[in-house]
Amino acid sequence: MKTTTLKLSTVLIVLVFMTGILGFSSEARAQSVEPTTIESSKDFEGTIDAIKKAVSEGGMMVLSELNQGKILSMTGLQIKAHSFFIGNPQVGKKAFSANPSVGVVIPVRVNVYQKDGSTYVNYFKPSDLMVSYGQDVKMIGKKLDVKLAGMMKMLSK
Amino acid sequence: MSKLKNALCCILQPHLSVHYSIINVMERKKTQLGIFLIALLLAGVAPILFPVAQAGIASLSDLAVQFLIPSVILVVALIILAYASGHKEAGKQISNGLLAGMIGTIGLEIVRITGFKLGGMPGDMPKLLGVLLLDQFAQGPDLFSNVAGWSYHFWNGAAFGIIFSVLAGKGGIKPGILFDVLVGIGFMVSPVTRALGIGMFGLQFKDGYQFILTVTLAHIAFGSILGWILLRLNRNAPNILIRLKKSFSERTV
Repeated sequence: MKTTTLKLSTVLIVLVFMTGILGFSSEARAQSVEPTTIESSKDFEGTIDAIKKAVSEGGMMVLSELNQGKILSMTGLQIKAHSFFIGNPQVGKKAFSANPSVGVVIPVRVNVYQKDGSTYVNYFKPSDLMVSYGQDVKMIGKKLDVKLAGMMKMLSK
Repeated sequence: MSKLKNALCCILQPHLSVHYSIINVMERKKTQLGIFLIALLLAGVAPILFPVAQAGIASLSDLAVQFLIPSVILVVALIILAYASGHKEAGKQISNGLLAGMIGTIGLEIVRITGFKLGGMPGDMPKLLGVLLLDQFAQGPDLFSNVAGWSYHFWNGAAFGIIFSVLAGKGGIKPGILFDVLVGIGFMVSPVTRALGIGMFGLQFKDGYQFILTVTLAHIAFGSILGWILLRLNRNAPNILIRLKKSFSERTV
């Protein structure tokens, strides 16, 4: 009887310990994916125009735009924020052929926002978001990282 | 023989003319009732489209092309036809409702905008209607979408004005308020509040009372203006129940 109680308590302690480790590791992993943020050399509107130009020069396309500031103005909130969905049909074809579930990550979302009078551009590195995918998709993510970094160089101060 | 024929004619002719005039009056009343029922159906189209769209059944822009625009054209055509075919009373009652509804919407808007500025509403409804109508939610509102949204909002007011005018006839302020508070309740339990993320009656918005208060006050303003105007414009107009009763009772004579 005593042995059974001891065994049970040991199992419980191990379980609690394992849960803690798992919780900590998932938190640590969540924290590791942070957006890349750059401060733009231009004002908000200028940055919007510059992104469109940079996307085109970088061999990508603006697939869709979300004027978050204007949308939120309907709720009474006055902010300047604009999201771009950037992609490339060829890159999309390769990525979706490799894994159709990749649509949760691409097209890449680039966000422009104004804070304390300065304009910032931020995005999550595609390779960071594609870590759970196979090597072929990860490679696409790395290529997209390079393209995005090139575009951001054109905008940064 | 010819004398007898002449005598019979003299006796029957007045009765026949009375008989034909009764039939004529009955026909006119039936046609008028038909006009009112068609007006009710057409006016009911616009207000139902926004909740239908928010329920995810179809997009508001598609519904506008397929139902809203045709219903607006048909309401205007019905008023013109009513006047042109000698049913001036019906045409007037419908157009009075339309006018009173539009003016009532100004009252509703004054309360709604004030409520929105004070934080009693989660969003600017006409602007939201505009971006949904023009299918440009991602771009946000602009001048064209705002014009479209405001037009639709005012048409909704006009539609409720027509419905109230046809149902209540001369109406009154109290029936007007009652009617429009019911409309407001309908709005607050519709899929719109769920889609806005504030739950039924807007209970999940702020402290739970701001939305109900703003919507109810706005609809009281609309209803009282609507009722007051129609009390003056539809002076001798009976309500739909009296019309139906008259129409059926005369049919059985």
